[in-house]
Amino acid sequence: MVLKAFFPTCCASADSGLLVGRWVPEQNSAVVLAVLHFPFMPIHVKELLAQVQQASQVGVAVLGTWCHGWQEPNESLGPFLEGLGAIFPHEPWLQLCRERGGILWSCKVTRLQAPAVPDTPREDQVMLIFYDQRKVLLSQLHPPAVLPDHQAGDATASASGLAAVFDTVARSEVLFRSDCFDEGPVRLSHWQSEGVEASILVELAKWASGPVCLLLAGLLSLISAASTCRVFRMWPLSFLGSKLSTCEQLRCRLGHLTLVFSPQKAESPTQLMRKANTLVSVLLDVALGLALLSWLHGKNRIGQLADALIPVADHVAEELQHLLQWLMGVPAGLKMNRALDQVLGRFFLYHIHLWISYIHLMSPFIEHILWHVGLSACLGLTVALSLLSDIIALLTFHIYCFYVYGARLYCLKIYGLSSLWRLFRGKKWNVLRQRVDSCSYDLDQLFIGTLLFTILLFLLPTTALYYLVFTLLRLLVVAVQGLLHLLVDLINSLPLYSLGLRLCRPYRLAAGVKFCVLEHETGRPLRLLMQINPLPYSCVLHTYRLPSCGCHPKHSWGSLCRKLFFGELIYPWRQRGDKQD
Amino acid sequence: MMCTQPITNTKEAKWQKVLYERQPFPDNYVDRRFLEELRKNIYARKYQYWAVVFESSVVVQQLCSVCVFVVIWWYMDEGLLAPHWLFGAGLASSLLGYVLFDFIDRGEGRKKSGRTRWADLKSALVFITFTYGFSPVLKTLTESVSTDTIYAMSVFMLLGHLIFFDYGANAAIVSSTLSLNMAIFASVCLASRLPRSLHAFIMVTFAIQIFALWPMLQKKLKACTPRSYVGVTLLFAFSAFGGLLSISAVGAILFALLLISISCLCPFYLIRLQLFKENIHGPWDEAEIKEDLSRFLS
Amino acid sequence: MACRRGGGHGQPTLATLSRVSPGSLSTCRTHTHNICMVSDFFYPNMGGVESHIYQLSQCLIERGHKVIIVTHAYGNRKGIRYLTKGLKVYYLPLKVMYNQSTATTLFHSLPLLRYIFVRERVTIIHSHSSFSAMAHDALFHAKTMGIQTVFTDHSLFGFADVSSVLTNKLLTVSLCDTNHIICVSYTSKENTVLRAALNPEIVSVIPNAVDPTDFTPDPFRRHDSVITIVVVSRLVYRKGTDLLSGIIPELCQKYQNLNFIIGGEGPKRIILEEVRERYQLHDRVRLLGALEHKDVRNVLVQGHIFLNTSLTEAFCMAIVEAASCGLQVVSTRVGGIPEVLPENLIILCEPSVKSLCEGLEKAIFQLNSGTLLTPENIHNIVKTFYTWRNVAERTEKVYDWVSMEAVLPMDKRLDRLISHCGPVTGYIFALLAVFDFVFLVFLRWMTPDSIIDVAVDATGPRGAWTHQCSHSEKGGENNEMSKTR
Repeated sequence: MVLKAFFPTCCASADSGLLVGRWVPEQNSAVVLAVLHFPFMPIHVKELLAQVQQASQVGVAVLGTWCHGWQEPNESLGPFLEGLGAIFPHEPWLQLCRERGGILWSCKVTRLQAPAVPDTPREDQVMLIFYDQRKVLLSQLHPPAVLPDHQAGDATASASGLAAVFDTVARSEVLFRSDCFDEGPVRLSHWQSEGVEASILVELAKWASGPVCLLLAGLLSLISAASTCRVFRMWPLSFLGSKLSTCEQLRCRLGHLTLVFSPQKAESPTQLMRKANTLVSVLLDVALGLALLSWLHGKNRIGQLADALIPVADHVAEELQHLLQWLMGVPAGLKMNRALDQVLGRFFLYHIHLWISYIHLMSPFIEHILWHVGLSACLGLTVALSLLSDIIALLTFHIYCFYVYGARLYCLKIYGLSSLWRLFRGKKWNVLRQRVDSCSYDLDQLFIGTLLFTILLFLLPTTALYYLVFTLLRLLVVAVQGLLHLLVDLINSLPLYSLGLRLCRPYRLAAGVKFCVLEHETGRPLRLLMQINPLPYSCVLHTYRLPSCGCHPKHSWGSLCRKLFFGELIYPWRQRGDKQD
Repeated sequence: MMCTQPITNTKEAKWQKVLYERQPFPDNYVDRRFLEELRKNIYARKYQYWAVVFESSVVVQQLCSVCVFVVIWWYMDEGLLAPHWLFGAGLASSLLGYVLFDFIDRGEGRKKSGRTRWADLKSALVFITFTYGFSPVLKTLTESVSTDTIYAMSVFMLLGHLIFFDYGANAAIVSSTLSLNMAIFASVCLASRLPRSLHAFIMVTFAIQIFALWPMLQKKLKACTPRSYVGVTLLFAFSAFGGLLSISAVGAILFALLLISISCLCPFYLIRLQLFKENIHGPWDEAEIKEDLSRFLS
Repeated sequence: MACRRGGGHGQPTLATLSRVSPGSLSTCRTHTHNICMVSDFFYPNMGGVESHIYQLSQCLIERGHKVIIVTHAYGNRKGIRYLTKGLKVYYLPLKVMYNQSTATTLFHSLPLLRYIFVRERVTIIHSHSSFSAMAHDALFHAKTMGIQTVFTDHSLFGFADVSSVLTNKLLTVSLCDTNHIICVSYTSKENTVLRAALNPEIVSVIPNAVDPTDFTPDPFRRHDSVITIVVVSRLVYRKGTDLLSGIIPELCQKYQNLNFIIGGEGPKRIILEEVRERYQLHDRVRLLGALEHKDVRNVLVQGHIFLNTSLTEAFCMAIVEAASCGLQVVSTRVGGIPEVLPENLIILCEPSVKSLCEGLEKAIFQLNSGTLLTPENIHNIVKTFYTWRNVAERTEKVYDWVSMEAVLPMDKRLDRLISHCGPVTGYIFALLAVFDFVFLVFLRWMTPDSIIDVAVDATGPRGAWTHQCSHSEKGGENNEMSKTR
């Protein structure tokens, strides 16, 4: 069995002393955390260890001795170090030595309880693994994702071993608190944090953050209480609230802010990361929003926009009129039923007429409306985008109406035709057994059914064409809205903080480790350097993606096509009866 | 090639057709009794020529119906037949048929089915009202569709009507509902080509009479008075032939040949082919359930 | 009985040979065979064919032969699996068309099958079930490759309608150059000989078998205050479920202490439910739904009388299982059923409600008067009838005959196809056989037989692992280990 000794690189040049660390019996490995220097009183050492153990819940112990050769090449130290084993009993006892200018390393393991056959001393092979204490302390190990079956067994075993090492280092943070300049009864050598210059500012921020958070959290809870008040529950408001994406976005942001400013301390690193991600996302959002605001309000852009909007709406309506006139003729040489075609065409034309007059009625107020809408950008870019999406929905209300009429008509025909087709074949749908049964109809039923079937069949192409054209228009609008929503979703759910961390401090998000061979000679312990593998970006995205809020339906392509074929209405929001797929 | 088998005690032991006993024969032993339960043609029927000819008249009748319908439509389309005339004639023949329908079996069939005259009147009213109400729609229904498409569709539907019609055979393909519906579909298609909505209305009514009501009367005639049925069939066939003759001589001759081959040649051929019939039966046949099991569920 | 076997196989086989009843046939085994069972129907699908293949293969392995099974992939079960005693099963990635039968283009399976046949050094192809397209494909390809073939027919067909005319023609083609055919009953043999126009000499009758230890009586499980009639079958038309729907009300009205237990699932279940509702028999007619094979015995032992209403049956396993559980069997007289059980164990009736009711009443009368045999007696009689070891021994004899026959060369095969299958079909399939041969030549050119590596048996190279196998076997008989290819 190979004994693995994890040794911090920062201690490689430390003076001789005792090795303090944790013994992991399952992995047969020793994790050295620090080197304790001479001189010391054993009682003080034991006190310190007891303190650390209590604070960190890690079984920290003296693992062995450390002897740095360049200091004084005398032989008297050897027996002394061996003697220490009696004071700090540990099984096995490590004796680590670095000699002759730090080139030669040696390591000896002695087990107090002698093996059963004393003649054959158990030559425990030792593997010396160096690790960067700072990186290991700060990094967060991500368990590997689900692996293919045949590797799973090995991978989990090694992963749990690594996790134990990482866990040990992370939990004994208390040990590293003591500074090298501290005058204590015991002197330790381990990783020291260097950046203490800004500590006053940090302390100030820490001190201030508590009350600020409390204040903001109170404010937010007031807002959310107001939003749940009874007035907003009444029918038109609640309906609007659930359908308008602006309201959804506001609600989502409110939730984010509540999360960020909640006075509770984040318990796990995941939660902490989530908070940080949310905060960065909100900050970025507001920054972008302010940029947009300043752009909009400079150089009378709002006025230009408002002036451009009315002609565009007019133009769209005109184009629709042309389209309808084309449909009322012989569109693409298709054989339409002339009478039905005329009726439908006139009906839709009247609608457009209504719409144009409505737009013109609105035109004087457009600029004011836009100006106020522009202000909303200070709440964040996402809010502004959601508002834009809502405005698009309002401005294309006529297209929506056409679509609904077309779809309803088409749906009715399809259902009528399918049931009459069953009658045509002498079958009927048995509701109780959920299947098609044969059935003997009366003569008059048959006659009327077939008559209606014939009529519906010959009228179907006309309705289907209208439905097709309006559905395409509707899909165009929905696609534009979908793009906006996608953008909003991206800003909402992108884990920017984690990505930044991965970019600047790759070791903070560890996916695993790799080992570089430092020295490999017979008769000497194998020396390895442990380096941290950063988490791939895709995994970062996958792990830390914030839950996307909003009410956008998740249609699969198949179900979308099915719905379109049967003329069921598709909405950009989620219906109550919709299945999640 | 077979292994030598110890067929020593075959003489004493008699082969039995059982599996549960180990018998002193090889597994591939073929006994004298092999295939002794084989039967041939046990369900084969002996046909009489004239009986088959008589039965084939159903097909002839249906062919004639389709032919008469097409001929009448052609006359209407050409404007040679005024719709009033057709309506009058149809009404008169319908009333006659209605009386005849009850008269033939002295109203027994009506008693058995429990259908009242009020229901008949209601059905008739439904037919008339709906057809009349929809006739303007029918008129404009197919005006944008090309005439050839309509003809093709009608031919297809009428052929379907002939194929799926219930001639009395017990086959899976038979569906009188589908057959009738196809005929109505074809008549609606053809009616929509006629010049006015009154024409369309009368054409569809006529289609109902000839495709729905006339076969019912035929069936009753055939069951009760076979002689008069033969007479009616002949009369009907000749009138169809005559009608077709007035349109196209070639078509009429072809139609006559078709009728003759169906009513005379086909039965002859059937009886000849019966001689070659070789239907194997044995214990492996799937047993038929001969009882009516639906009585347990009613 | 000097039998030369592969090294290391000896131990289990000797034990079985002594147990086989010596009366019937002399053994002329000279060597072991490499047998490949091909059928679309195998586990996890459940049924008579599946268990036949499994049990037969197990017994053949026990007798020292090498057996592999080829079937199509069932959902996630694909590739190679090993079953008990190292029985290797290939689940081939072929598309299922209808009723678990693969679609056939006659050619697309050749590359895979040829690879397997070569790799496993197969000497005999044994196809099962005429419903299985893969079985026919394998027969066709095996003949192209010059391998001996055996076919087992498990079902009966009529001659009356168009579909059976077509399927019978296909069977004629498929079996025209098959070396030997096995049928499960004499009726089935007559049927197959007629359908495929065969020489009856090359058709053997080897019945199915039932493991009598799985079906033991347990008289304490049944309540003697009431009479219970058990029906276990799929609820489909061919199993006579319609007859059952007539029998239930008829008898339940007559006998107040009569209960029915019906196990099985199928499209006709609804008519039984309707009958039960119509006659208010919810407490007396229990519909158990689909049963797993291991539960069948527990259902059977609850009854006194077993009712089989099948309209056609080649060899009815269900009645043997029921009789083995000690039940009095009442069955329709169709197909091979009269051959299966002796007259004192079965009451045969015509397939009509009236006749079946009479048969059941006779059984009830006997039961009430105590003239029926006790379940133990019935079991002791039945358990001697059908055993898998016997089946395996007789099948082995067929293999021995077949392996001594010469394989028809290509020209003879074409002659035979043309002369045997009628002018039109004969020429068509002769052409297809030529195509198949050309395809095979092409495949041989692409990957010569010599570079296809020989598969290692589950017994290891030269039987080296046999001992370990026989030890580990005791632990878990049905443990099945999977192996990625």
